[in-house]
Amino acid sequence: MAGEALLELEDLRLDHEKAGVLLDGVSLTVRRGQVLGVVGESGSGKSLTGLSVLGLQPKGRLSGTMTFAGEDLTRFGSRDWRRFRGRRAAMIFQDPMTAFLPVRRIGAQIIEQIRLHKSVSRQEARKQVVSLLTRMGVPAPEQAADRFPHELSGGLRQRAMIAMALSCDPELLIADEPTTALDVTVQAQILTLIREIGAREASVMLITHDMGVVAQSCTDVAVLYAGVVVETGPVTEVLQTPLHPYTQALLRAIPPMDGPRPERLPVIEGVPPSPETRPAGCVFAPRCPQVTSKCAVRPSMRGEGLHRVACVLIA
Amino acid sequence: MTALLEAKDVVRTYAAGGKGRLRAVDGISLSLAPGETLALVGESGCGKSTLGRLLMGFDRPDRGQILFDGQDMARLSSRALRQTRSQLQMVFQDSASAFNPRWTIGSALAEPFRIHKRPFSRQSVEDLLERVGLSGSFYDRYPAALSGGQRQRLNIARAIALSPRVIVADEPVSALDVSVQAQIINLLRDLQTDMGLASLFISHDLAVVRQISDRIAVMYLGGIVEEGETLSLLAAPAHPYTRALSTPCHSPGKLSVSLCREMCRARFRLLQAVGFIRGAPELSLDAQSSDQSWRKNRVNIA
Repeated sequence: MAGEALLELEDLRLDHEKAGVLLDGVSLTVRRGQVLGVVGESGSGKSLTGLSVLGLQPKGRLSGTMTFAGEDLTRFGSRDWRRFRGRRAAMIFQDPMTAFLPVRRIGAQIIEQIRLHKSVSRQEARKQVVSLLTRMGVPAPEQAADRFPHELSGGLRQRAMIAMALSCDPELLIADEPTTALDVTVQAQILTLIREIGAREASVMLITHDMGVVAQSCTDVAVLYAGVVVETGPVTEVLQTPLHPYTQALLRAIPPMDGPRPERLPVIEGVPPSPETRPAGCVFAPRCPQVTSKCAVRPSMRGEGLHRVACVLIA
Repeated sequence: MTALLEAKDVVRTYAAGGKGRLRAVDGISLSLAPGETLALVGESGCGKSTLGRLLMGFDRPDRGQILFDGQDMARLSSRALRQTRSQLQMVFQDSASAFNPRWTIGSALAEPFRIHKRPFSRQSVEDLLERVGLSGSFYDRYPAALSGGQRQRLNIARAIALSPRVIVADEPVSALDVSVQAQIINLLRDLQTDMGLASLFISHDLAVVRQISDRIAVMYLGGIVEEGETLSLLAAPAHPYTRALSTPCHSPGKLSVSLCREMCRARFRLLQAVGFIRGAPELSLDAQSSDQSWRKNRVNIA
């Protein structure tokens, strides 16, 4: 997976005047051909990270660096963003029902996006829509393009959503909880599709709270806790030998499918920090079972190779 | 042991656009013993929530009987039914919509006492809050002040307020993060042990079900395809559908990732092969695609 870096976030911070620190040092890299899972609990800042990459984060002070294929995203003006969004990086959301306009046909909405970014005729755009829907595994794509969003099943709507996101051949697809609203079997289909997209068409940033989803479809993973990336690396390594105590605790909290049934599931004591109780040192320290005096200083990312972790316990 | 809650050959159908009726629950017999936790497992649309609602007495079956403590719920007078309902409580999946946002937490928890004319005090409500691991100081606050996990605790507090004998929990943890999910599972288990509660736990997640239940009933398209003691059923699922569902991609920590992926793929193929990827009318477009591939697969497997 040693493609060149497409998106690099380095120490990204977002201070909101009301809500306080939302992102507090997000460092991650999406390489070409990679499916990077961004995993964390609700409120950990995973969706915000995705939105920031498209310049859609709530107003606040954003600092740190965001580089996309050599371009500095933090210097983008609104005109640059308009050209960037949808064209070079596109996003899909958890609920495709609310993401599509309910009163326009699917095809028309995708055509609109294509013609916004490319100067092609309506007929040509329509052809592209049909070919996109075919590629996304939508059966009877001609008819599907003429349907309204509510006429499609959840799985098909999500496929149409992905087709729309890929309509302008973006280099990066940001998928925010794309399968959370779907059934298990449909989820498996969509995850397979996303994995194929990662391999063939665009790099993917897959935002999820579900470690099972990460295991199924990502090549790499970044674990977020309270606005900080605490561990990142290839999926196999991170899931099999998690180094950060938070990642370890998170994996332990999943009920086992084999072996003896534990009397109680191990839980992470306490709650994620609120803006008032944000520790100056390691953000996980107040809940960490292995906390030491060294944890009063914010650890930087360390580790050999691609598997990196922000914890003082790791030399 | 005699059954506390029992379904006898229950059928519930709904009008399905134009001609025909959808058999949401199609001749199910099921029993729940006192103190037992029975998990009802299946994908969305298999009728498990409908069955839950029937058992709660929210809805009446077209055919068959629901017996609570040996009494047919459909034959009870409305007064007797209200009596029964105090012993039968439900925990809903979406804790955000389960509470009136304009009521304080205290008044939401006092409501069951008021409805059933039971004595209560501020102290008893605060005790109830503490019982589910919430601070009594939430009494005067509103549900919006709670996180998802805390709201689910509140949901559980309301369900156990009247010390019911049975709880029906419809996907109580599926909307929660894993770390919070573990806390709620532990809480539910503690309450079951302490109060001797019988519960029907509706879920699609077999890893969660394995942790919490004594027995499992696997539902598919309105019927029960397999039933048995939790650990032995999961160790050796007999029905192909159960086998497909129990393929463990839920515990990635325990498996090599490639193995996990392989199993997910295998599960998907298996589901297709046995024809369990549904082709309900509203899914017709989805069905066409899987239709062709499963025909091919089925030939292979046969």
